[in-house]
Amino acid sequence: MKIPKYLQDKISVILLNEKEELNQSKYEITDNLITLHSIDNVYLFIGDYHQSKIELDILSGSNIQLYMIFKSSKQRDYEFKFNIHESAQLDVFTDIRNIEKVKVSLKRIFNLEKDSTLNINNALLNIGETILFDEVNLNNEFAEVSIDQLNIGSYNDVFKVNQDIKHNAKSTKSQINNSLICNSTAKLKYSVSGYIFKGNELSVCDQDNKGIILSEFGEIEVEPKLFIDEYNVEASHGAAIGQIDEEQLYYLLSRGLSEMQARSLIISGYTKPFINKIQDEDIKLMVERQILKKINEGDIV
Amino acid sequence: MVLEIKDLFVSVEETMILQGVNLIVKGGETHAIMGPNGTGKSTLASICMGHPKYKIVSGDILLDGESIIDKPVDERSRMGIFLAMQNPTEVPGVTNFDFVKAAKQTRMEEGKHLRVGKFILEFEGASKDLKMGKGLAHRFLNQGFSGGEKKRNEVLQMKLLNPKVAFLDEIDSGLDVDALRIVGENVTKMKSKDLGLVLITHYQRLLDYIVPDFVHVMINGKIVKTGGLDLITKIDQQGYDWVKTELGITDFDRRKEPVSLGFCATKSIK
Ligand SMILES: Nc1ncnc2c1ncn2[C@@H]1O[C@H](COP(=O)(O)OP(=O)(O)OP(=O)(O)O)[C@@H](O)[C@H]1O
Ligand SMILES: [Mg+2]
Repeated sequence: MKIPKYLQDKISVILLNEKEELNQSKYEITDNLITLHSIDNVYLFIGDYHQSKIELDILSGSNIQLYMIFKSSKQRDYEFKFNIHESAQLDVFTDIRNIEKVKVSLKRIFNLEKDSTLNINNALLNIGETILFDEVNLNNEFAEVSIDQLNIGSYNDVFKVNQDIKHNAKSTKSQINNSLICNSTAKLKYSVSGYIFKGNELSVCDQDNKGIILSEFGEIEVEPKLFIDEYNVEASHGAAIGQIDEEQLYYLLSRGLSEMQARSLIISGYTKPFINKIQDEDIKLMVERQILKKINEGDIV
Repeated sequence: MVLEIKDLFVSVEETMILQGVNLIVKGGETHAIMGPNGTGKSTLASICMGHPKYKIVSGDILLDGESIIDKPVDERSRMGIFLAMQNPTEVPGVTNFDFVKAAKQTRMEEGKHLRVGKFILEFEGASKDLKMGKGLAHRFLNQGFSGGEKKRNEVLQMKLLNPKVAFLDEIDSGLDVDALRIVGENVTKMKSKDLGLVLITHYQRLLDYIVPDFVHVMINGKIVKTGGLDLITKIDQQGYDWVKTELGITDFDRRKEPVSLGFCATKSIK
C-alpha cells in the first residue's frame, strides 16, 4: 500500500491499513499502543484497519500535533484511547474522508493529567453515516480542552455526535465550538454535555453551537447539556440554529453581491475560522477542497 | 444622476409607514431629512435600497428615469444606490476586506478582474483617512465593532464603492466629537456633481460638517416641510412642535387602520 500523496513529504507517518502497518516514524507500536513524545507532527492514516482498539500515550512534557485521517470503504467501528500525561500538549486534527457511503463509528476517550492541554479539531465532511463519540476526562488540576468541529451534511448523510466533557478536578477548563451546516435531507444530531462534579471549583465549561440549515428537509438537532454540581464555576451554553440570517443576506446584497455570492460568503463565514486553525498547509488545502466539494455536491448555494 | 421618489406609500406588516413621500435628489445635491423618532426616515432609505420587509403600496422610485422598485437589492446597489445603515449588520466569519473586495468586484466590467494589490492600497488609504486602525481589514465584518467603528466602516465602504446616490442613516450616532469631524470631512470630500447625498439625522452637529442644500422635515410618513439651513437651527432649538402647530398636524392621524380602544370598547372608525 502506498502513502497518500499529501503525506509523502511528512517525516512521521503511520499507516494502518487493512492488515498492514507501515510505520515511517520513530515511535513504537506494541500491542496497539502507540507512544508519542517530544515535539513533533505525526500523521496517522487509518484505512479499513482490521484492529478496532488503539491506544495512544502522549508522554509528559511533549507537544504533539497529531493528524488523524480516516478513509474507510467498509463499515468500521473504532475505539481510541488517549492518555495525555502531565504538562503535555496534544493537538488532534481529525478528518474523516470516506468516499463511499459507509457507516463509520468512532469512539475516542481522552484522559488528561495535570497541566495538560488538548485541542481537538474535527472535520466531518464525509458522506454516509457517521457516529462520533468524543469523551474528555479532565482528571487533574489545570487540564484544558478545546474542541472545534466543522460538520457539513448533504444528501442523506447522517451524523450522530456525542461530546462529553467531564471536569473531574478543580481549575479545569473546556470550550466547545461546533459549526454545523446541513443541506438536502441530511441529519445532524448532537448531544453536547459538560459535567462539573462537586468540589471542582474554579472550573470553566463553555460550549457554543451554531448551525445553518440550507434546505427544507435538512435537520440539525443540538442538545446542549450542562450538569453542574458546584457553585464557584463558570459555565455557559448556546445554540443558534436556523436558516441563513435574512439581515446578513440583505446587508451583503445591499453592497452589490449577488444572492449566490452572498450566501456562499456567509457559509464561508462558518468554515473559514475552522480552516484558519489548521496548521499543516497540505492538509488545510485538502480540507478546503473537500469543503468546496461537499458544498457543491449538495447544491448548498 | 436623478433619484425621484413619487407619491410613495409604504407599509410594513400591515402598517402604513410612508404616506405619500415626494422627493427629488440630483447629482451634486445634499439633502438632509430630519424628523421625530419613528416617522419613517429609515423606512424611506430602506425602501430605496429594497429591504424585503417593506412593501410599496403605491408610488414609484426612479433612478435616471428608470423605475427600480422591481429590481433586486444587489442590482440597485450596482446601479449606484448606497445605504449606510442605522444599524449595520454583523456578519461573523467574513472578513471586512474579503467582503469589500467582493463588493468591489461586482462593479467590474465583464471580463475584467480587480487588481488586488492596487485595491489593498486603496482600502488601506481609505481606512487611514477614516482613522480606523490597522487590524480592521482582517476583522470580521462589523462583529464586535464599537458603535462608532460600525459607522466609520459604512463610510469606508461608501468611499470604496463610489455610489451615485447615498443615504446616510444617522451616520453621526455613536460617533465621538473627533470621529464626527473625520466622517464629516470624508463625506464632504466625496461630494461631486455625480453624487446625490441624503443625510438622515437628528442633530445640527453633523450638518455643520456636511452642509446640506435642502432640509426636509418628515412627520408621520410624509415630508411636511422643506427649507434651508435656517430650518436646522430652528429644529435644534425648538424641536418639532412648532412645525406640527404650523401645519395643523395632530399625533393621531398617522395610521389608517382602525384603532382598537381595548376590550369591550367600540372601535373608532376614521
Ligand atoms: N417590522 C415592523 N413592524 C411594525 N412596525 C414597524 C416595523 N418596522 C418598523 N416599524 C415602525 O415603522 C415606523 C417607522 O420606523 P423608522 O425606522 O422608519 O423610523 P425613523 O424615522 O427612522 O425613526 P428613528 O429616528 O427613531 O430612527 C416606526 O413606528 C416603527 O416602529
Ligand atoms: Mg431611523
